[in-house]
Amino acid sequence: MPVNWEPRIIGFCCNWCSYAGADLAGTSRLEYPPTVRVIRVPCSGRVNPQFIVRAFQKGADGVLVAGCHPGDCHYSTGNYFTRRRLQVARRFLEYLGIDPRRLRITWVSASEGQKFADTVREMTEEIRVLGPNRVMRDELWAAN
Amino acid sequence: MGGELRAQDAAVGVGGQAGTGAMSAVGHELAEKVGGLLAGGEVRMFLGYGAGRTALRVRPRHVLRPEGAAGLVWNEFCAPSLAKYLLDEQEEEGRVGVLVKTCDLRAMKRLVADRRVDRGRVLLVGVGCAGVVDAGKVEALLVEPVVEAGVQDGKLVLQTRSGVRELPREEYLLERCLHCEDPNPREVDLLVGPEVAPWAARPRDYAEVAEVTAMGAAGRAAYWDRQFARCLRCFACRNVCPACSCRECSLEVWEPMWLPREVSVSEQYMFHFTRAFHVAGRCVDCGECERVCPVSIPLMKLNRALQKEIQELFGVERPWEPEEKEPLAMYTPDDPDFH
Amino acid sequence: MRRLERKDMRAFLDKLASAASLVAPVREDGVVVFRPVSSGEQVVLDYVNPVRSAKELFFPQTEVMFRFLPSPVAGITPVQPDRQTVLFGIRPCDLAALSLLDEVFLGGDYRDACWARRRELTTLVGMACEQPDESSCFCTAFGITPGTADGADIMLYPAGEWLGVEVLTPRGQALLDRVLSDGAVALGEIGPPGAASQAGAGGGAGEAGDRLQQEYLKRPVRLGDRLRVGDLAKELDDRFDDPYWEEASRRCLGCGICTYLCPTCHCFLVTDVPKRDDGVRLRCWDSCQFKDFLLMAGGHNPRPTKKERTRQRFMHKLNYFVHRYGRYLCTGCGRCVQHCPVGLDMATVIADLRGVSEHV
Repeated sequence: MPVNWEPRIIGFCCNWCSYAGADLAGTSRLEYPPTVRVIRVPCSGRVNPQFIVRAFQKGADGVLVAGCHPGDCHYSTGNYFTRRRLQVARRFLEYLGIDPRRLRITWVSASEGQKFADTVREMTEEIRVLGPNRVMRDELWAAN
Repeated sequence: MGGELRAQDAAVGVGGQAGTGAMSAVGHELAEKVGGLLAGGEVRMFLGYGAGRTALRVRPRHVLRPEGAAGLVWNEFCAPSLAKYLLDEQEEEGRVGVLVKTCDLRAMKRLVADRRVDRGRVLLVGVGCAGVVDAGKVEALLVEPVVEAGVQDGKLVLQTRSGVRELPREEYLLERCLHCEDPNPREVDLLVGPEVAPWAARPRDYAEVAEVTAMGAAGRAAYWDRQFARCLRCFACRNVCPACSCRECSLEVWEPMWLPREVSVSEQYMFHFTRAFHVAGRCVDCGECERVCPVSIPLMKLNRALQKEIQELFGVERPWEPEEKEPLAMYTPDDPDFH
Repeated sequence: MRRLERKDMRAFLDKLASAASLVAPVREDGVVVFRPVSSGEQVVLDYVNPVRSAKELFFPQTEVMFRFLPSPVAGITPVQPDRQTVLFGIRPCDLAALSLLDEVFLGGDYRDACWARRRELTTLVGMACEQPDESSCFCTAFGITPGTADGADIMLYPAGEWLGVEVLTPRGQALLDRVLSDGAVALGEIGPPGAASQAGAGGGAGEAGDRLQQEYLKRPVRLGDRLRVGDLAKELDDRFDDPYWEEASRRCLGCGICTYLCPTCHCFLVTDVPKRDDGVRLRCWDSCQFKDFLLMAGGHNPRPTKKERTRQRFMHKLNYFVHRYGRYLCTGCGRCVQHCPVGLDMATVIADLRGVSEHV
């Protein structure tokens, strides 16, 4: 494992619940590892599985997709589609050699700052044990 | 093609009662009927098969005039699915006839379900098919070209310049044929040839998927690295696929560029992930992608893995049937959750 | 010509691998491809031709031409290969293809540095074709034969229990000297046992070698013998508007199998890829069969349908290139013949255009 290596996690957070949840974690001054780079998406349903592959390509060691709890979607049904699609995508990525612990899909509401912080902490610890991701990674980007 | 022979072949598994003679008889009937359809103006074009360079090869043949129908053939090497050519025929008025086996009918229905082909403008001519031989597999054994080929008593009989060679037919069939549940296409507009006796189709047990799964995470990554490293990015798998029919393919869009021209291992993953996932739940299990791949990438191991996941997760029993509501374009509130 | 015992082949390959980085045909998941190898045992000898041609050793599918740094420290660093390579087992058709591509990349006023560098660094060990594939090989259509050694540094001619070894260039001699230097592998004389040592039989070995070579040069290639092109280029001058192109192109799938497997196709696309702190200029293969190949920024496409694209591929190889360089841009390797899923390949098109039968 490279010296001074820290996991890098790309977090796709839905605008209405999870991004607000992450925000709450911050405003509540909850501590969690600075390993996640949050990308705000209008809905977890916006997360095309290609986004996940692209994140792994460009150097992510883990990908977190967070959306509203099923039933709470701002657009009524977006996260139901996400749940189907990413269940399959997650298993398929595992089939291609990605450790399933590197991709976590979870539901974080706007009031669940603590859950967001806990999720990032847990994921960071898991990935720390797994080490840097090498599967699918673009060599030109994988210098560190 | 007597009843005895039929029974005998059924006993060995996959049908094969249609010997060379029967196949060519179907060819004559086909030519006659197609000639009539074109002469009567019922179709403006017919998509069938013509002879290829050797007896093991056929070519897609577009017939535009009644007299061209004489060049149509039907035999145990008619593998290519012709449905996709219909996409080229959307502009012009008039019906197009197309020859379909059961597997091709699924491809056809896929295109209709995706609203890329108007069923009303297609005349489906169905043909019972006792299984199609994988020409590549046979060619790999022979140096000399096959001059004449046919099936007798469940054996593939190949005539080359220096002699006759017999092969156990079933071992040389396309994999899709082993799983074929009904050799006779239903819901077509016209049938040619006799009804073909069904054989005991092998269930899809996903053994090939289990084999990959058993390799472990690192083993799987190494396996796919090696397979994808051979990929030419020629897009034959996409172009031949009846579920790949977008007017504009995301892999060809420059902004955003999902797939650059680089062929690093990383970009190969992006390509193969995208292709397979895009047809997940819509793949008709025809295996054309794998058949045309010039570097033998086991693409069906990707498609089948997705089929298996969809079956297991959402209880879709036959995800390859175009009649199924697309499993990834729907949901139920009690779908399994992540844990 | 000297004699290498077949049983010494593995040791010979081991020596090649230790002399330079060795690329040779290997069987991978049932498919024969050229791959870097570290020892002789990985190499297969019972192959017709690797499915991916040898051109990619010199013109990789993705090639980093140079790296650049953004301003204010803007600068360009050329990326140049520097490894001495031996390519073992290249067939006469691929050898001929390299010489055709030399015309393109080195022949005119402009010398392509990337191509030139890789050509200089690579020693070619050719392998005459013992068993051309009768339903796809058609090199003789273009005057190439199973024994044509043009362009090789060393050529091997299989002859049962042994192979004839012909050294054609000083570079080939230098490589052979290195391989033989420690005496682990030795070459013998051709001819009856002991012939070389008999007084007065000096010419015997030479004659036997010539006979072997001649036999390869005259070996029939059935499909090729039937498709000899002759004046086809000239005939095609008037066939740009032939309805044949539309008819034939109907069955094209629009994939790039033919162009990417082809040892002589050489279209490419140059793109700049900015990375984090620097960037690279890449040269990647492109294919005239892709519908966006000529698509212009304004939306105009000069070759909008399969008809134009199919015509382009065959006219380029059988007419335009001949006008420009005096040679056909096809060597009859048969890869498109074997792998085109719809039988729209060079052999078919030549047969159709010339009105001869391609059935062998």
